[in-house]
Amino acid sequence: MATLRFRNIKKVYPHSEGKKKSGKGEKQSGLQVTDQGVVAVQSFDLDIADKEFIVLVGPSGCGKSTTLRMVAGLEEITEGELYIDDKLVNEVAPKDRDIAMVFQSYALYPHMTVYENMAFPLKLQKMSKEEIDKKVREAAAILDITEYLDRKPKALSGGQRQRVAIGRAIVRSPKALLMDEPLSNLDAKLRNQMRSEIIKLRQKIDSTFIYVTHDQTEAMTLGDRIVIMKDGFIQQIGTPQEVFDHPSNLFVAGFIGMPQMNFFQARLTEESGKYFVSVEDCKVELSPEKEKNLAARGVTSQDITLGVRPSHMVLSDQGSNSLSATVDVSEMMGSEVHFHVTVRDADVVVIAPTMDPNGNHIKTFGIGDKLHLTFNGNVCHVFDRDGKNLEF
Amino acid sequence: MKKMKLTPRRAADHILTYTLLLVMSLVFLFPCLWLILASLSKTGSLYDFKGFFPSAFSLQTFIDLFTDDVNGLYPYKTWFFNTLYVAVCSALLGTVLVLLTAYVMSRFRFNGRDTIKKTTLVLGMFPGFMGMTAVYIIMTQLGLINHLESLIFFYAATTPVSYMVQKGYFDSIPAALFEAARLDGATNLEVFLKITLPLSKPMVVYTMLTQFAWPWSDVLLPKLLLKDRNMWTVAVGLFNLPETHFARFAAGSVFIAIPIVILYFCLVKNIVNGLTAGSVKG
Ligand SMILES: Nc1ncnc2c1ncn2[C@@H]1O[C@H](COP(=O)(O)OP(=O)(O)OP(=O)(O)O)[C@@H](O)[C@H]1O
Ligand SMILES: [Mg+2]
Repeated sequence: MATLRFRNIKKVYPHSEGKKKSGKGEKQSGLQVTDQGVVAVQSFDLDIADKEFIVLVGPSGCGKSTTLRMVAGLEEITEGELYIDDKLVNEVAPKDRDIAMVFQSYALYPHMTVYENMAFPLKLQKMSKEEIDKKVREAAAILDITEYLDRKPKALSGGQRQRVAIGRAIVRSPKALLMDEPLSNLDAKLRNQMRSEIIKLRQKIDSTFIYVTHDQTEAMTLGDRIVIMKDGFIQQIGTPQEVFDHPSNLFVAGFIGMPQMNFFQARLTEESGKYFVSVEDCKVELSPEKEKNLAARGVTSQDITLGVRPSHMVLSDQGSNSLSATVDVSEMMGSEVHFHVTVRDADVVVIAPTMDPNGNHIKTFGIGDKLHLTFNGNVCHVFDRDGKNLEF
Repeated sequence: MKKMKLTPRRAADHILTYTLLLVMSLVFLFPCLWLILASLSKTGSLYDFKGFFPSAFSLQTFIDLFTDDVNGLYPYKTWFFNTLYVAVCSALLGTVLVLLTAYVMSRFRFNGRDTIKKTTLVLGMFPGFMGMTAVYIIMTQLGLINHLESLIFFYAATTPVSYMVQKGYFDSIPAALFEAARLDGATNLEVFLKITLPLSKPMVVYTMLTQFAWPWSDVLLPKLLLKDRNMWTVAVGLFNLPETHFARFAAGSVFIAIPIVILYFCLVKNIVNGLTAGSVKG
C-alpha cells in the first residue's frame, strides 16, 4: 500500500569509458545524447495513487525498465525526486524501500527450492519459522503452486517459474509490486492465462502495481492508467479508454489500438465556427464537441494528419463525398472482415461486420475490387503537422 | 549396449587410438610409478637398482621418514606439519581474499576500478621471483624471517592479484539474481554469502585447490625466508637431501602427494556444471 510521486525524474547513462561515441543502435533509438551520456528518461512526472495499477508501455528502448529500476533503487536517479508515501527515497537503498520486483528473466535462486525462494525475503526480515511457513503457504495457494514447493526452479516450466517469481514478490506484502515484462517469455496461450491471473491477483493483494510491457493489449487490459513512453519522454497518461479515445499525439494514436489507426493527409478548414476535414473528395464536418474543443483553442484552417480507426471507417454505396479505394487483401475474421485497401497511395485498413443485425450477409469484396469509404465527424482525430492532437 | 560392427577400418582406428593413449599414459605415469617403486627400495641406494627398478622392496624408508631424523638433520615430520600449516592457512586466507576481490571487481562500480584492473593485469605478468629481494627486505623489517607466518602472509596477500578467473565466474552469474536479492532485503554481505557463494561452489573449490597446491609445493619462497632447518617445509627439506638419501627423497615426495590426492577426491564432486540452471531464462 503506497502512493508514489515522480517529480521531473531524469536518468542519464554516462558514456562508457571506451568513449564509444557512435555506439550501435543509439542513433536509431532517438534518445537524446548529451555530453554527460545517453538520456534514457527525462521530464518524468507522475502521481500514482494507493493500490493503483499503472502500466508503462512503449516501444523497445524507450526507458520503461530504466524507470522501473529507478523506483526499485537499482538505478540511480540522475535528477528529480521520487517519493514513496511522501518520503523522498532517491538515496534509500533497495532493501529499505519495501518494494518487490518480478523480473522478466524470473531471477529465481537456482540453489533453493521454491519454498526457500519464497521464504528468502522473510528470513532476511528475521521472521519466525511459523510465520514464514504461514505466509509462504498463503502465497503459494494464491498462485496455485503449492505442489511445487519442494522443487528446484530448474524442474519447473516457464509459467510455473513465473508464478514462483510472483510468489516471492507478494509473500512479504510489499508497498509496491514492480513487474518488468513478466509475461514476455511465455507462449501466447500461457500469456493470456497469466494475464487474467494477474488481474485476479490484483484483487487479492493490497499493493500498488507498476507494470512494464511493450504489448498494448496487456497495457489496455491490465492498467487502471497507462503511461505511454517514447524516447525517454512520457507521451500520454490516462485510462485505457482515454488514451484510446483521445490520443494526445500521432505516436499514441498509432501505438494504441489493433489494427493501427489509419492516417490521411488532409486539410482542416474553419468556416464561421464550423470545422471540416477534407481528404480527397470527401469533406466531413466534425462533431459539435470536437468543434468546441478546436474553437476553444483558436485552431485555424491548416494542413493536418487525420486519424480514423479501422472500425470507424464505413463502407459507403454512394460515389460522391467519399474515398474511393482498391482492395489489396481481405482477411476474414469470422464476425468481421478486415479489408486492407489503398486510398490514393495510402494503406488503409477497414473493419466491416460480416452480417447486419438482421443476420443478412453483407456484400463482400475481393482483391482488386473498388469500394467507397466514409467516416463520421465524431471519430476523427486531427493532428497538426508536428503530430500534436489539435484538440489538446 | 549393442556392440558396433567391427569393420577393418574401425578396428584400425581403434588400434591407433588406443596405442596412442597407451603411449601417452606411459609417458605420464612412468615417472610416478618409478618414484613410488624407488621409495619402496629396501637399501635406499641408487646403486642397488637393477636396470630401472630396485632389486628388493620394503616399507622401511617410509617408517624411517618419520621415526629416524638422522640426528635432527632431516626432521620430515616437522617439515610435513610446517607445510600443512602453511598450506591450509594460505588456502583459507587466500581463498577468502581472492573471492572478495573478484566479487568486488565483478559486481561493483567505483572510482579507480579501471585503474586497478589495468595495474593488476600488468603486475600479474611479472614473474613472482622478481620481487623476492623486496619480499626479503620487507619480511626482515617485519621480523618475520624464519617464521612460517611470513609465508602465509605472502601467499595469501599475493593471490588477489590474480582474481581474473574468479571474476569471470562471478560475471557469468546473471545480474538479475543479485538485484532480486537486494530487493528482497539482503545486504551486500548477505548477497555474497547466500546467493553468490552457493552458486560458485565449483569456483570456490577450484580456488581452494590451487591456493593449497602452490604453498604445498613451492620451494623458492620458503628457501628464501626460512633459515632454520626445523622451520623448513617439505619441499625445501627434500631439496636439501644429498643423493645418498635417495629413497628418503622418493618416499618424502610420494608421501607429500597423498594429501593433495585426498583433497582432490574430496572436493572434485563439487566441480560440476549447471549450478545456475533454471534461475533465469536466457
Ligand atoms: N546500463 C546502461 N548503460 C547505458 N545505456 C543504457 C543502459 N541501460 C539502458 N540503456 C539505454 O537506455 C535506454 C532505455 O533502456 P530501457 O532498458 O529502459 O528500455 P526499455 O524501455 O525497457 O526497452 P525494452 O522494451 O527493450 O526492455 C536504451 O536505449 C538503452 O540503450
Ligand atoms: Mg526493458
